[in-house]
Amino acid sequence: MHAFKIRFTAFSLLLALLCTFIPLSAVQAAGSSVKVTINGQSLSFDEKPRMVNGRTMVPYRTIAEALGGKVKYDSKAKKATITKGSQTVELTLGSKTAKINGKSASLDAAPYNANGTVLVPLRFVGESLGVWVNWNKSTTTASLLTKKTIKHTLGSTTLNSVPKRAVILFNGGVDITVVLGVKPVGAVESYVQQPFYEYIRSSLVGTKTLGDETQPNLEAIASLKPDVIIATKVRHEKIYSQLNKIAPTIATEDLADWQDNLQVMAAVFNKEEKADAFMADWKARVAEFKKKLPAKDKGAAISVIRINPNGSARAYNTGFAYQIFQELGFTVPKQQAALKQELVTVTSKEQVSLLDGDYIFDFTTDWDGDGAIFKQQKEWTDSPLWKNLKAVKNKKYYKVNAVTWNLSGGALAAKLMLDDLYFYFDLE
Amino acid sequence: MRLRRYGVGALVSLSVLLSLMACSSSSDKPAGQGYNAVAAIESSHSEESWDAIEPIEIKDLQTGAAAMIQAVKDYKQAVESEDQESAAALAREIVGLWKAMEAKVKTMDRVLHQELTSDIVLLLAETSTKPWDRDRLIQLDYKLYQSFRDVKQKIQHS
Repeated sequence: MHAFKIRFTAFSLLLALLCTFIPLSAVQAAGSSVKVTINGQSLSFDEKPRMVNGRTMVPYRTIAEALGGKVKYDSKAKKATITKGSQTVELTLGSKTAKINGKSASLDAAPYNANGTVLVPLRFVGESLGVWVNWNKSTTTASLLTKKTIKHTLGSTTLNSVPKRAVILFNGGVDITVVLGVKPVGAVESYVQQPFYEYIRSSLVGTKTLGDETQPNLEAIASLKPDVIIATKVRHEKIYSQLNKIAPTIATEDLADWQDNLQVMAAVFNKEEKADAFMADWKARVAEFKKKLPAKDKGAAISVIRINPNGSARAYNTGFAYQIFQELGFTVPKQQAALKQELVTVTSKEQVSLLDGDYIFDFTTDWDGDGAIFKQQKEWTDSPLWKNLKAVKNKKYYKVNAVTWNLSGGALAAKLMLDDLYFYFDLE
Repeated sequence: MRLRRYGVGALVSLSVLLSLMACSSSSDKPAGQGYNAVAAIESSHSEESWDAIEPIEIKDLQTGAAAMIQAVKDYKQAVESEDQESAAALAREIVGLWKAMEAKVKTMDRVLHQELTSDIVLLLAETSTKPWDRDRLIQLDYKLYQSFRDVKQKIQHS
């Protein structure tokens, strides 16, 4: 009898535990409460938005109609057609492929019918209806914006819908469009490897070229009828007002600050999730690199140089590669830091020691494609004073990829440069 | 056997020549100065070495690319530590891996295949050239590192 009581008690306890867990997970599967706002105003629903398998599913009709769209539903074909302005969206229950103006778009999850209401993934709402969508995990709130005002270094620009016809006026920005999955209608051409750098060219088929970063062709830009222009201050401040007359123009602060440029562009194009994923991966890679770097190389003084077309040499204490080395915990050679100059120009071989460091990375660029610059480079590297440099004597002078280390300045280029450092620092 | 060797050697020579004609300096991978193609072709030592190297067995292209990237990195270290024996062995390993992979790389990207063949032929030739041009070997090796990174990406996206 006593044994029976113990077994019964144990069984009851086990049953109670199971009953606690199963309903809890069922509630989680059915969805924690999800709120939706449009331009700050809460939306109410007959059928509530919910989390399903980690995805935010929202009632499409309610949102589409709140945004001024018209919804038709074919119950036989299980197909919903939504029209909003010039946009026509078609989606089919159970299918992860939708159409936006006849073009296929893929959904994170298939729409489904919940008590007569079609629920679709939140991201699709933004994509199909041209609104910005922000998901706040901690408050489980989806915030939709029909207009967005972006404050930037040259002013403030309001966009009335997520841009579809972007023009990009600096190379780093072109790289970033590839990361974000936004194909520009027009972009400046690359400094070498025209029309676009080889490492991103395949993603830019159909993109028109618009002159180069330092002198974009305004007529060509206007002819494309863009709905946004992404510029950068150092290159385009003088023509900003002309650009702004063509289309809303947003200027980034620093040509070489790819991380900031990525965030700005992600905010413009409603691609913050992609940008966040990229940055999370980048930070993990940086942490991994720093962990693997042997003690002897931690804090090493890195000299980043190139030979200029006029025969002088330049060391960089600014710019794309410099910023990445700083992030990785490397230092600037003392003799360069002492000059407090962003670009150190060395005109005479007698001053070559200014170029020294624990490592020297040289991204001399063959601008004209004729190899002449390499003769000038050789004049430097053949000189006895050069051979006496610490990095050279220690065999730590390397010629690196000018495109990914300097000329591009984008997020993918940063990733490639970091990967190169595994080669140069002998890391697994 | 001799005819076969000359036939293969001629094919290798032709592919190097064609590659060098096709490859402009538009590739910004640091090839540096132009190559002495004739010297590379006429190095009968490299022809014999190339021919004698057997393909290395690989599980699949992905594994091959990973092994190649490792070999390329090890090669750099061998060159930097002036270990000519290890560098030569690694150069042969690179050729062996390439022979195992090249048919599939060719179907993925003919231009990349051409560039890689040309670069690997040169690497093998220049590794056995005395005295070493250390900087050139490292540059060639870096070019291979970047190219096989491209191969790896193409495999991932295919």
